[in-house]
Amino acid sequence: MKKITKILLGIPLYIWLILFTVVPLLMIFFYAVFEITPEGIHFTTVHLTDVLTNVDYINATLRSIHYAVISTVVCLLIGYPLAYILAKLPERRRNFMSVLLLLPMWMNFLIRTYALMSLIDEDGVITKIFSAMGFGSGMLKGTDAAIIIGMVYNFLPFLILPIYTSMMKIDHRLVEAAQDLGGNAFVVFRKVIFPLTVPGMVSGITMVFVPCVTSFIIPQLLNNNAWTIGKLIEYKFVSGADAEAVSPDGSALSFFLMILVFLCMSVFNKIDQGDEEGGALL
Amino acid sequence: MLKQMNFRRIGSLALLILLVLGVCLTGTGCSSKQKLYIFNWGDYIAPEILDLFEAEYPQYDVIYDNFDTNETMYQKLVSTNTPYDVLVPSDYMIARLIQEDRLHKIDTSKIANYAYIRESLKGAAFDPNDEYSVPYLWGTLGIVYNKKLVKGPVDSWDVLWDPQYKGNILMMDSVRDSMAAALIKLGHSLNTKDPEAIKAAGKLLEQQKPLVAQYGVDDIKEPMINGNYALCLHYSGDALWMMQQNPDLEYAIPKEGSNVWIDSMVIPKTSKNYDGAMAFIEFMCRPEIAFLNTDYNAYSTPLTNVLEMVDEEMVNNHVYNPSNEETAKTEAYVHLGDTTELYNTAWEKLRLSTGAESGQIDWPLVWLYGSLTLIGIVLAIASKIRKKRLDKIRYSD
Repeated sequence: MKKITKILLGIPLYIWLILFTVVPLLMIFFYAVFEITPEGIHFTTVHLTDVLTNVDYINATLRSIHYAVISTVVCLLIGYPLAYILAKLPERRRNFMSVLLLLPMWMNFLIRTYALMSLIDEDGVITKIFSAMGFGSGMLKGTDAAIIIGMVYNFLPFLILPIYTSMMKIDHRLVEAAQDLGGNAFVVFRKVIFPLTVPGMVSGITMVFVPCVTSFIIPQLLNNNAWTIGKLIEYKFVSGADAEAVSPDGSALSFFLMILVFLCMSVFNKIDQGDEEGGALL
Repeated sequence: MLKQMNFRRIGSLALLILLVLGVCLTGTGCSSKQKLYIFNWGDYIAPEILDLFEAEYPQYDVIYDNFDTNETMYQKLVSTNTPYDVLVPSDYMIARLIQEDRLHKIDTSKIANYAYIRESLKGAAFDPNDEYSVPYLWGTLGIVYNKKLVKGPVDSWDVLWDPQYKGNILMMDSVRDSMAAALIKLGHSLNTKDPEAIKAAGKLLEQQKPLVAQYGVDDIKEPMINGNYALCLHYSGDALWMMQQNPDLEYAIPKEGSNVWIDSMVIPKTSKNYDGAMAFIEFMCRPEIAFLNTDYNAYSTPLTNVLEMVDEEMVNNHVYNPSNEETAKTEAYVHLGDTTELYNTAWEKLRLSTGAESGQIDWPLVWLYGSLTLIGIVLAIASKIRKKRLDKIRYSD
């Protein structure tokens, strides 16, 4: 009896997964390797090899990785200390600060990016601040820096929150024990706090890196001259001159992007799992 | 292609939603009304026109739908069951629809005001006998320039390849329009099917790329208005709007020729209400209605007797109402069939190339991330070995 209820309750989930995950994945794979002609359906690897050997596509993929790595590193440099400070604050101020941190996320991400667009064009505030600081002149929009700013701005909270959560979970007695045993602040941080926040860091990095690699609207809006793999797929399916609802090239690209994402995820997972001992890898 | 002022669009969108809602609510009540499906560009009709139409023809219940590119219009037309009665596609898309036998013929003798259609718009390449389409609005493609930043006259496409304007040029992120500029500069027709000519035009645009600050459609208007760029490829209606915002801007149709685009009303074969469709087209051609429309959109009206109602200032404006000399060499786009692929390939090659190192793999990035991955792997293995050794020491006690 119990088993039947379990199955029945699970049905919506199964339908959901099949309709919106399994079927689309199969469709992408299908359109990438099968050609539909009036004579029938036949297998072809033309699109896969086309995509793999196209220099422009390779460069777009490299650039996506490049932007994602830089954005993740910048997020980490800003986000880790921030999470640390946040965790150290007295409770009421901490709650207030975390609301402030989350507040922009209540607004749609596309609208935020549009807003950023006007901040970094020629008369934008951020452009002016940057040129006042001596980081070159002219507008930021249309530069690589614009993409990095956009990605960091949009994804920073996703990195801070898991780190913050794992910091909050640290048993304070461990820190005290380390201090009692004569560790100075740096040693305590390196031997206790840092290793215990590694799982949070890894999930934070995943949550920044993956959307950065696949993002298309940020590069599209902030630097339309740069090509990323996400933008390429969008171009193939939607906005391109020869865009089609069923794009074999677009499907092949999506397929490779998926492999890329799965690879990244599995690497991050490995780090996470291999880390029960506490930051041995990092 | 025909996107205009954004704020206007939002306003009219709200109006439209209200309208559609109103139509739905009233429509459910009385089933005796015949439905009339109109499919037009977003923000491309003066909002009061539909009310006026329904007031005059209470037997019709207008259902108004929007599209934003000719291609999405086409997809929706062929893939849904909506019985659209009137469409307003652009020239080359009309040619395609005619070719695929998707349009009803229109008897223009039943349209009272048809005689006033501007001569230069009749017999266009996409519908040589004017059997299928009735012009809605039209315009040209040309160069918008900032008088303060450009030296010498702007009357030729050559100016878009002039190295002294490096970083000062905005181009359109639109295949046919940018390719048209290059093809005409090379002395070809903008509808050429010659693969060599198309390739050469693509090459020419690649040479131009280092000079171009940005490719865009709607998003290049604002920077141009702000006076930060010297030259910009755009449509006449948008040019007019930009010129109203910044008096330093001017618009020119290059002497070598350019594109004239015409958006026309057609009746697709999906229509189940031919009489209603004809009534709507006839209504849109009435001088007072056509006036409302051209006044709202700032695109040129195809009707010469409507021009008499438009502000004199506008009539004399060569952007709104180009002289016959200016449009003498202009040409409408036609549907290119399979050749479209060649255009798209050339365009994609241009858009994706990263300028100087085009055609080359970005080796520095390959080395950087290749070596980083290697270091990562080595570290991972090392730590695993270390862990094993530690385990051994620990558990052997």
